[in-house]
Amino acid sequence: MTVASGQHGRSLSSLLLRAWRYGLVCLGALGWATAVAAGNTAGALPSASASAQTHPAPGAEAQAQVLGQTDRLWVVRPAPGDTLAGLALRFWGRADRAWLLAESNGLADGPGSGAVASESRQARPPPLSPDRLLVIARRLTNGIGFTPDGYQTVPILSYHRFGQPASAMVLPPEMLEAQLRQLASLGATVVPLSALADFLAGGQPLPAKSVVISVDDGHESFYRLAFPLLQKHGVPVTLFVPTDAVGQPEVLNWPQLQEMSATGLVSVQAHGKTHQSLVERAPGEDERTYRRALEVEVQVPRKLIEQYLTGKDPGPVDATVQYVAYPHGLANVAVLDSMTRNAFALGLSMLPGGNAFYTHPHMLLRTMVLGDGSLEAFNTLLQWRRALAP
Amino acid sequence: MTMTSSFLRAGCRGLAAGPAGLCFPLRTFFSAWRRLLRIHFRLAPLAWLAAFTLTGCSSLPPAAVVDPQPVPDVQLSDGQAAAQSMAGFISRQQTQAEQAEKQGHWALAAWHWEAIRALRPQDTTVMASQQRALQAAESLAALRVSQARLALQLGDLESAREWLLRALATQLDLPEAIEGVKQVERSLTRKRAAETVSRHRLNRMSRPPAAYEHAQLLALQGELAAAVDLLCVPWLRTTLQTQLPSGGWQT
Repeated sequence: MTVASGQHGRSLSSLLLRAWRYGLVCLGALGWATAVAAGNTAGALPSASASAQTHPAPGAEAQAQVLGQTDRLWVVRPAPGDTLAGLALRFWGRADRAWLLAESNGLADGPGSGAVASESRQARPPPLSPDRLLVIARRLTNGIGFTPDGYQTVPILSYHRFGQPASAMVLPPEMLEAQLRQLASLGATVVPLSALADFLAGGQPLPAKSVVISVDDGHESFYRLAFPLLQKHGVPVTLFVPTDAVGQPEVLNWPQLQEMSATGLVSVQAHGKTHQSLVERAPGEDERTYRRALEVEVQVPRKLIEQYLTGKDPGPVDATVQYVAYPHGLANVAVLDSMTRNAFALGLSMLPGGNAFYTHPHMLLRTMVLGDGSLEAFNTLLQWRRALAP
Repeated sequence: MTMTSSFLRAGCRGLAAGPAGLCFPLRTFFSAWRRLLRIHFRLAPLAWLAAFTLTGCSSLPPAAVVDPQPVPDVQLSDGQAAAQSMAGFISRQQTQAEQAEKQGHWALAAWHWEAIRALRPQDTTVMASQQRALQAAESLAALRVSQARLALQLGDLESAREWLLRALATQLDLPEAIEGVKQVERSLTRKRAAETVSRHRLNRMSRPPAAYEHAQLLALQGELAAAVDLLCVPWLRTTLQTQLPSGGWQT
């Protein structure tokens, strides 16, 4: 019996006495007895040894002790030397889900788990301690980033050219590096576009501050100025290239694309064949001719990129080219139908905003980073959550 | 005795249904009290005092789950430290559960109660608290899903999406709401895409210069000033103004 329960007990005796005098004993006594009994049950703290049960380890990486479990969760005590990655591997079979363990236990205030954050993460290891018990979900129930007051959105940043002088369409490389550092300091995780595709398709969770980086048009300044920086920071990027332009002056050539693609950091994807807007028609063009031209704009880039970068010509399902950034950022119903017909996983517009779990995969939002903007302006582009209307 | 049990059940139902749901059980509660007072009318002051006390008791979260632990000023043994960390954990989970309940975040509250239950599986009070939170989450989510269905029947896709999102906020693991939101968004996207084609059919031009393309991108982003800056040719400015979507794309 706790001190608090003892006080309840004295109050009960006093009230019972008075209630008896006034003929209320039946009502009052039972009500209080029930309430206090509930308190007693709850107040009985079992000893650690009584509640601690060591279960067979799902893996061998972490030595944490399972103190209790239900159908939905485990409560564990980390052992000295355990890491979040080790725990994630042991309980979920995936060390790369360490961030999820951190976020769900309120340990994710520091840097994110992605490439950009790696330097900071090494400097500040997650505060795991045997004194701090952790709750681990037994199955994934919330892969869509929902909380009671809002939900996760994933911004896709869009860049074009790099160099000097700065303008709306041209970003100086030192500004790109400053932005990458800014992402690290904010705890962001730069994820590949494929991770966003999985998030949208099957509710595979993403770190709360996930961001995707994309670069349009295949300008050669990307290879010369941006790629070395992205490589230095280990940041994955999706490069959207209009295939008719490849090899032309000031545009990347196939060997450069092959070299960058081979690093595994750069994913080369489709940006139309001619870079003509997919929603506009030539003068006098009928519906049938327009749709045939549209198919060429959608299909040919995939075929060419596959041939040059993988040496294969796979079908739509096995192709590595699964994403299209619509030239000029626009799509209509015919474009959406063509994307579905050709089994493209994602289509990217140029409408700004963060992408929620329900965003149409063929009309993703993208936010353009202006070359002459400030770091403060850059921060405002990072929309990681959308609040629910009260 | 029966009357008391019904009072307690009413209290529980009220808690399960959330703050709004308390109204009906409380009405039942006090009307029963009034019936009793017709018999014992002279005891009104004490009876009302007891009623308020009982009501307060039934609406409180389960009695303290954790005994307050004195802060030790000596080195703890491993066993003591383990017990203390467990007590701290339970206390934190209980606080979080109670806060979530106050805010109507029932699924979250249920999760925190369940974390305590994992350590104290025999604790019927904790189990009841979890059940109560789960039931509240389910009933609120069901209500919101039905509102979404109603909005869909009326053809109000935006409202339907909002109700489904609110249902998910109540009960995070609700596949029908997740799928429902995606379906609604699919319809909304096609609707907007259909509007796009008609706009562009009206304003066709041959291959535009790069400045025009870039200005169009900037304008889509809402960067109208930067877009106009790129267009030094007056006729291009006019074209831009007539071709751009009028902000109906934002989601």
